[in-house]
Amino acid sequence: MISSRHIMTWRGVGLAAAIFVFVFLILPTAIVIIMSFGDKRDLVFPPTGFSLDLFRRFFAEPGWTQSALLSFRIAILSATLSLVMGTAAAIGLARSRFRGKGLVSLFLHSPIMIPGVAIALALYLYLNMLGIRNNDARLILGHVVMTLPFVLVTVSAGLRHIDETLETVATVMGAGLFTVFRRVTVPLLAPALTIGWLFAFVTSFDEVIVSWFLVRAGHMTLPVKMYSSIMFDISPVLAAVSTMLTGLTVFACIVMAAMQKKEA
Amino acid sequence: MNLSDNAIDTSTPMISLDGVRKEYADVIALDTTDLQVAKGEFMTLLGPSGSGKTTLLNLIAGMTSPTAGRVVIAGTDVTATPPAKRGLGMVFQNYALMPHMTIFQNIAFPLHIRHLPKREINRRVRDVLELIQLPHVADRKPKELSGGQQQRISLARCIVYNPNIILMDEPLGALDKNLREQMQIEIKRLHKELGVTILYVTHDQEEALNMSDRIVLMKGGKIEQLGTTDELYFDPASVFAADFLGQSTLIEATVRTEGDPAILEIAGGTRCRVSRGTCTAGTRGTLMFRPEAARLAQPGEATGDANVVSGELKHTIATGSVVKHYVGLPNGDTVIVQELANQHRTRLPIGIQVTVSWPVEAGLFLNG
Amino acid sequence: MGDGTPATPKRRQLTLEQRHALYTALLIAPATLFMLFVYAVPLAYVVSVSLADKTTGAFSIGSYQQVATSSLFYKVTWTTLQISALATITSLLLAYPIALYMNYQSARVRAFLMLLVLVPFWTSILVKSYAFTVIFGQAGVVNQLLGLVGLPSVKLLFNRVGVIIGMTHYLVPFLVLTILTSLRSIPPDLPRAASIMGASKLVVFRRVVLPLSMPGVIAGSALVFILSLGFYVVPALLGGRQDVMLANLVEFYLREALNWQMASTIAVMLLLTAALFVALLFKTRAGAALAGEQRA
Repeated sequence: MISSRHIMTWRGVGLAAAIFVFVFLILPTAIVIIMSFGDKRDLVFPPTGFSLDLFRRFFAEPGWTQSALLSFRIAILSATLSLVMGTAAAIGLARSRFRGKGLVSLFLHSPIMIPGVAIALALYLYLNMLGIRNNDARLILGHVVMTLPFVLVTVSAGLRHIDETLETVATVMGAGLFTVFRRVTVPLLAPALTIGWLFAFVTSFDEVIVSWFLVRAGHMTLPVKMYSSIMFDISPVLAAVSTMLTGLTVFACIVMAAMQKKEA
Repeated sequence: MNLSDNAIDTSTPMISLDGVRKEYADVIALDTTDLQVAKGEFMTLLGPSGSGKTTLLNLIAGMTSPTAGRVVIAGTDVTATPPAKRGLGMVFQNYALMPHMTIFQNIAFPLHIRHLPKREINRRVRDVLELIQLPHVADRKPKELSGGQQQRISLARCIVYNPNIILMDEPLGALDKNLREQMQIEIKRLHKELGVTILYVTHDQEEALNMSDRIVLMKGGKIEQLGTTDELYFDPASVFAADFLGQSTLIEATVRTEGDPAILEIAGGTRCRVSRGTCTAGTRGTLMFRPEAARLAQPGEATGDANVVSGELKHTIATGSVVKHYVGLPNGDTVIVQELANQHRTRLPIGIQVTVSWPVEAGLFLNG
Repeated sequence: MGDGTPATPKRRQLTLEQRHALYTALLIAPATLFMLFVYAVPLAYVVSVSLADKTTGAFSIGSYQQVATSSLFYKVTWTTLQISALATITSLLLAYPIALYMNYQSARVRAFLMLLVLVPFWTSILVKSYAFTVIFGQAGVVNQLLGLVGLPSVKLLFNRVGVIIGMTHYLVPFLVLTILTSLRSIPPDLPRAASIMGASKLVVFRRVVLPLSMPGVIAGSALVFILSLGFYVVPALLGGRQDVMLANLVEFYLREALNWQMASTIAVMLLLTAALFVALLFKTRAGAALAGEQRA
């Protein structure tokens, strides 16, 4: 017989374990966010007072703001390129059957599974050999490789939600391919396209290793700048950067969750 | 039953398949087939799943092209024409209404594609909603309508742009029985009012019999039999056709004497007479007759029918309007007798000996 | 020529299938060509560099011989496998209970908890690493708190403990997501039927829920292990000299030893190791299910 006290005990254990893990997941970032609003030059916890000094220092230092702007530019361009190519490929793969399709799909997804350092080294050596020195071009090429598989995953999942007969019926009614795409596929796929773009944007914005290998001196992306700062000088500005970056992440997360709900 | 009032004129067919054949890597989805559908005809493709009816529909719709042969629509060879340019309408089992559009937008969609002026679009959408008796749902989304209403909208979306041909792929498959019958009547009404050619796919024989001018019965990628509903019901060309459409008694038989009527031997010795079918002396085959043509009697009771066989009453099933008796013959064959339900008739006890009789002209001898 | 037959069009008519194949090719081509020239060719180039002599550029397996006799390489490989296995196990121990806990919550509570998993999932690894340096540092939050209650300070940074904590923090969300997916796919009638037949909660868990969630556990663990093999940032920022992993070794040879051949060779070895484990994962049913989930 299961006594009710017995059940209570199990519930208690489960709850305690869950709370422990969630605290472990959330607390470190939360502490940094709290510290970023502290009023001392050096980080202390708990902060002795509230101030936005660290954020002011971030915006006062061109090194940080330029890195942030570069990251935005690269992430927007990479995500958009990935979305265009990835969506086309996802539709092509979902709406056809041919020999070797599995192989093409595996190939396009494979950067997810491959160690980033291998891709980073490969692009570093290859772009140097080709003599491609433009910092933006180097980063965008690298970031599209890293983000395209994620667009493919999200858009393919979105396509699976769409009833194919909707496209068929539109075609039979006389709609050309482009009309079907614009009037049927895209509206139905809108949530997945939004998720795919945000996924690619965040992945690119946070990308460290490929950027670390590919950036040219003096043109650091935000994560590269953060990486070298944690490595070498541990500037307290990092706390402010972390807060803003996490804010961006939470925002992206909420939009994606909302889109996922819309899709279902 | 539909006694056809449209005369079928296949001299200028709306759809013509000339030697069409479809093979995939290792299967023949459709064996070489010729088929003509007349203008204004309601033709049904009937058959079990995998019989090739969907392949046939897809070939006409342009979802796939034939391995050999030509598809001709309204006199034009469309074998290589993409579906958008074939001037067809199509209704699907799952309605295929655009979830992101209102009912109005859904019906207006094919008119937008054709770049009709806004006022004309408005007028035609209102008219067609009136025609299907759902004028009040224009601003709703498909999700807010019932299955039957959604399917009517799907029909309206076809009708609104006057395609020559409407293809219907199991359109009532997702509806429950009562609604299905209402929709059958609705589709027949629209067919009659609009004079459109309809090619209808179903695996439900009752639906096929209710609605069609002609039925194409398919099996294993081939046309098994093509004919009017009466032809298929009363003159099935094969045991498969007899079995697939309606219920029938099928018992082993051997032709003893040719002639009209011919004499058959059934159930290990009993002789009976049959006037239809190709009867060559000595051939073994199947005697078929419909349950409603047979009558049940107790031994010694006279029915006046020429053919009589006796057996044991195995089951009686009453389904409201009709009663069905299953009679086991000594050799194991089963004969089905269907009577109209009668409140005052006393039930026969299961297990007694009975005789089954049927008129000569009700029987049909089938080879195989 | 006025004989009444319509002139056959000069342009060869495409069949519907050929037309469809053409559109498919046009849709797939941009991504495939891009990945071919910006991803596959560079990787092939790395392989070719690894097989070239450092000075002459001629074909040579010298780097591989050097790697095969390098005690540093063996040590780092061993460290990589050890850290990856340990991080996978700790992540699994933390992820399974909360996936299970989330599975039994109402849809609304689960959606909220999901956000608590997704936010760390999406949080930049640099933010996390920075947080750990701040919290675990010599004068960090943990040691401040220990000092307050009069306990000696502990060293949690620049050693194996720091690396494992940092990696676990990164990996737990991956595992929660895969395990929760497989828990959610268990038809609720199965545990219900088992408890109606008299099974206690523990028995239902051990005999029904746990075995049915194994595909998610196996696929998730394998995924997390493979991700771990290529870790770079966490060991570089939170680990010490003893915690150098293969990815860091690649960078060391490229930037400090300036030996492209060795860097390439180690990258190829890392690639092959990861590929081996991916292949093993795909061999299992769980992996096939995961792959099907991604493609299909």
